[in-house]
Amino acid sequence: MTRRLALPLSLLATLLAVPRLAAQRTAVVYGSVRDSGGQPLRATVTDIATGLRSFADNQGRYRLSVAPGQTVVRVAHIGYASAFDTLTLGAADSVERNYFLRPAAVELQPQVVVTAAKRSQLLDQAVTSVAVLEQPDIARRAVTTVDEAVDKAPGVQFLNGQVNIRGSTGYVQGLGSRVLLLVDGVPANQGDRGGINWDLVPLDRVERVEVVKGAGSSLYGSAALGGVVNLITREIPLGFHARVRATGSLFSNPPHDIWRFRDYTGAREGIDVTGSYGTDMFRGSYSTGGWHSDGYREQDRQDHWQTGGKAEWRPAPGTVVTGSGSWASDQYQVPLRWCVRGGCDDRGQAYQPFMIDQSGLGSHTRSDKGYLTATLDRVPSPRLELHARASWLRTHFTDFQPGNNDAGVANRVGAELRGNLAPAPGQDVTVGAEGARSDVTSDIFGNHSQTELAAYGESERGLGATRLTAGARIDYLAVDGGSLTAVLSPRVGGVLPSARGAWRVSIGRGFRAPSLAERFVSTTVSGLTVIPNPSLTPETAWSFELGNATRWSGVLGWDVALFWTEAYHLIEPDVDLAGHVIQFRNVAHARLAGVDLAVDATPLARLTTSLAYTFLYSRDLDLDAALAFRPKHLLTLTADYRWRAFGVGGDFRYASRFERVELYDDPRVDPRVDAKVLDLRASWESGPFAARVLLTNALDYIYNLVPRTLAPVRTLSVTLTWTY
Amino acid sequence: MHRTAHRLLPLALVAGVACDKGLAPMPQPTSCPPDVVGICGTVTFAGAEPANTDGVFIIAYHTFPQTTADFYSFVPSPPLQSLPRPFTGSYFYTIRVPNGRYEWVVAVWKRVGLLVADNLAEAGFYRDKADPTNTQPGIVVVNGTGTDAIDFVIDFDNMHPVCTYIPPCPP
Repeated sequence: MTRRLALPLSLLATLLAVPRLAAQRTAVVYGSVRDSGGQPLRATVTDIATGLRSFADNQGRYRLSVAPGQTVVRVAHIGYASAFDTLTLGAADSVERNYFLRPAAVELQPQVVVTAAKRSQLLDQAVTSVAVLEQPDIARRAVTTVDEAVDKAPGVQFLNGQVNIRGSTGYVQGLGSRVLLLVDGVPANQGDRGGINWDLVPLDRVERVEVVKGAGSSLYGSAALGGVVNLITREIPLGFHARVRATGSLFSNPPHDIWRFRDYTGAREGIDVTGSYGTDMFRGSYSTGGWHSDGYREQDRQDHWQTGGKAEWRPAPGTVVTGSGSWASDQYQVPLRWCVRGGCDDRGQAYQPFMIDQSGLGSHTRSDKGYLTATLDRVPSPRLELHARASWLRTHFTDFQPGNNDAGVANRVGAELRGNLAPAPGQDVTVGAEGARSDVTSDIFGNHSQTELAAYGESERGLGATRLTAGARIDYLAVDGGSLTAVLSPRVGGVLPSARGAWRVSIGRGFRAPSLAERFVSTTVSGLTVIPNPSLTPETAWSFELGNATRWSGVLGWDVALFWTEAYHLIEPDVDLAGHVIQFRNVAHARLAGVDLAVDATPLARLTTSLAYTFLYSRDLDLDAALAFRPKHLLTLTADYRWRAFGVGGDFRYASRFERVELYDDPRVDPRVDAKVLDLRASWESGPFAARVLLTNALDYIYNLVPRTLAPVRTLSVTLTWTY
Repeated sequence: MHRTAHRLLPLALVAGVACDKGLAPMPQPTSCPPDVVGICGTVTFAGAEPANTDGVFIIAYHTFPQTTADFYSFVPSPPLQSLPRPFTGSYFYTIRVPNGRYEWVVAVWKRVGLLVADNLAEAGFYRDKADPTNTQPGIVVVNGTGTDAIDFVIDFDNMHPVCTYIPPCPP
């Protein structure tokens, strides 16, 4: 026991040591970043050693504080090749460096990610596939929510708000996500249902999204069975900055008169405001906003309010104390399944996709959610980084349904200590300990709690040109203070640079602990009693991946991966008609295998294009049938053309028709089709002003992914942004 | 410019491919859809719908149920979808079932409440057209397509509780 606690305690002691303020001084790098035509760029300037960053303003000016000595800074902007600069600075030096970036489709220089190994590393040294969405790319798409931003990432598909990475989750109505959401590295899945509130963090606060594909439990534990999505919030720049963003949208009316359901055009309007102020020592930002939507179908009105903030204290070079939080409140009508003959004014139709069954009229939900996080990051030496964090996530929902209201409050409190060490040249070690407690108080889930304690370690070292990684995490789970269940999640991998790009291979084990909702739900559905199953065990999976990232020339590159996941004891609802009950049970043995391909190209100087394609073979081996809600083919094509301050572009997403769905498999009222969605966009930027026009589902393609649930129709949006 | 257009051609092709409009209005069917493997037909409603009706479901049994366990061994698999209201006039139904021989295609009425035998009743079934007494169930064979014209009457005034088929009935 003493030895088990020794490492976390020593980490804590080092973290809490009072920084020697007087003994350390900073140096400053400042200047401007412009493109080859002289236009200022809001680029990111990063100190590679510490990860500290500065953001250029709308004049392209930046200012970065660094530790004395030799420093490598990286200057990056989406659509441009990054520049690296090695500087040698003395204490209190102030050096001007001006950078000019040249256009490139995708990074020609290695990109830095932080999620795949729980530390900063170059993207082409990660042993698993990682998709990265940078803020300028998110802004260019002019989307308004986080899930819209993540939805077009290669291999990622959303089903009614439920994220799938290479078909990991399918659709289980928000219960038990097999993808872990992180906000700045802090787990943020709900404490009761294990699902994800994508509106927890305002999109405007998101600087970058990293999507790690495949099992990530060797570092992140439960829920990282199919992958990890990490939302990295914006750094707070020096000086005073403000941003106002206003958005207005119009929803297309139904394309056929026989489907009309209202006599006006639905709209959505929203505004958000952000202000920040930063000095070398203190920085803070605050944002607030909201939006209202009429929705694109019957009973689809939504109101959303949000507020959030972040504060940083940098008492010494390499030491950052951060506090952040966010709160969001949603009141939304619940557009239940679309109506079929007799359920509404059907007008002789087999189904009415824009209308709902009248029995569900009046259903609505209030959902409040928020989180608070405190982190301490310290770099006491070039060979050691220390991190500590504590977090609290709270969710509260009330479902108002005709004759049946449900409510619940859930909390998830967590803490983590982590060290990133470089004990020898070419070797990196990550070790840490993590604990979390989830609880729920609900009329349908009861009053329960779950405790998770974990320790993990992973080492990466060079062997010639090859970099090898091995690590494991052990999780101990206890429900309602009962006996402990242990789950071991190992991972090994390697990266081999070659003339044909970087080859990577990995195999790892993932798991997901049953959510409190799955264990203890007690309600009635379709006349059947849903009964608890406290004896549920974690579902597990082994994930294998072989990948290659190659730049064929300055204008063409690809990243391709073969993946294979063998999943065991998947938790699914089991219907026992003779016993008149439904119960969640560990039942399914499943296989998900396929190819994930991402190609980027710059065929013209100002034209960037990309192709992402995922072929997925999915099989429920117990039923000998395709897994429900998984498309065999998922294709995304993207093109953007930029000329001076103007830009135009588009995305095309194709998802093949699901071979199998669950719940309502009736072609009479739910004739499933392929999904073919074309989004078009245009933008103009001048100084502090930017205007973006987005036409989503430009072809007004009418389709559904979830049974009897209409997917978004053609929507025209205009977003105006002013940045100071 | 010509070169630019040439390079943009794939995008134009994609847009062209996507030019079908997805789902379209679908009048209520009057015959088995071509992609259905199952049973189709028209049910005609008779009598007054009971006030406590939860739904009416059409299901099929490979063999006529002899025990309570048999009674819950039917297709299609739950959760089932009720025939839509109003339960008046006639309605063309479709159920997807595997290939095979079915001895009983039946409409089950369900009272509001739990899915227990006391809340269920037979409300009508497909009858053997060759039976002069018109009381015997008709056999339906599904073989790779939709078997059509399995028509029958759902009579709310002449329903039979489960215990009629699987005794005893409570006193």
